[in-house]
Amino acid sequence: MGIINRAKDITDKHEGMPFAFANLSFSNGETGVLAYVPFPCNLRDANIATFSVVGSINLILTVNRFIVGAGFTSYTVGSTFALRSFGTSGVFASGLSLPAFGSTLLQLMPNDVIGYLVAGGSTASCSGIAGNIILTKTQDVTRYFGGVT
Amino acid sequence: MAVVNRTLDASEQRKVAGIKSGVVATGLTLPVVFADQPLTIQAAQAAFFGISGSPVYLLTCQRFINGSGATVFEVGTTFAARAFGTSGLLPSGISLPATGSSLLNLVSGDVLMVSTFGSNAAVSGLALSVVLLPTQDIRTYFGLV
Repeated sequence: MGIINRAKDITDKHEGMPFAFANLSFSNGETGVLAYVPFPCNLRDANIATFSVVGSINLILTVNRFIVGAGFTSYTVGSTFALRSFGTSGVFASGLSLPAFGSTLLQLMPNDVIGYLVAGGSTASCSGIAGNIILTKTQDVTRYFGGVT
Repeated sequence: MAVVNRTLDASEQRKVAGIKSGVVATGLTLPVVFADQPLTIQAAQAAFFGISGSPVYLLTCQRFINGSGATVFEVGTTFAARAFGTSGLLPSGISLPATGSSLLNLVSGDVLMVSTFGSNAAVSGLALSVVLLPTQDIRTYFGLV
């Protein structure tokens, strides 16, 4: 049973997009996908836990967008971050470094794909990655993939 | 507080997270859920496909506290994979500690993992879902947002 004629508290408008992968290897310039965005939203925060890191590697978040007629674009969001071993260093104290709140880079559209780009470091691998991307819906009446309400 | 001046019904407060994976060999430890806020584990269920041998699984939680480092503790007891096509899901879900156990409480930044055991065992596909209940009235994500 949903709620009609009520607005959600701001803290409950956030939605986590969790991801978890096992046995990943990374090489410079490689890209990967983390989450598929179903509704218009703002990227509010993200964090990541990495296990059994071998080597050192820097990643940067990317947003991949395809607009019919204009084609494909991809842009980076925030600054590079080094994968850190959960057992040694835990997760990032302030989450991943993102642009300042209000930046248009944080505004996502349905069908955007959030991914990563390997942006430096040595060839590396890990036994597992778990992360969560926090999104805030921007519509009062949420439309999924632009159509379904 | 979920809705301004209103509380969500208990059934609407829950959320689901999990892992979907292809081949899972024995001896692996896979991350399942990265807790973005304080949560309580309420239930867990898994479906296994293409079982070879007799793989056994166990949920664990990894926690890192600044200053004291990383700790790992088991959540529930081991459970054997059963073929979805033959036996369906686990009748009572994954065996978890009794309701109220502190082992079910996750703090922001915890990672729930699943480990596999058994000799020469594997599955060709695994889907594992965990039902989580946020414990805060006013939610904070990673302790920040």
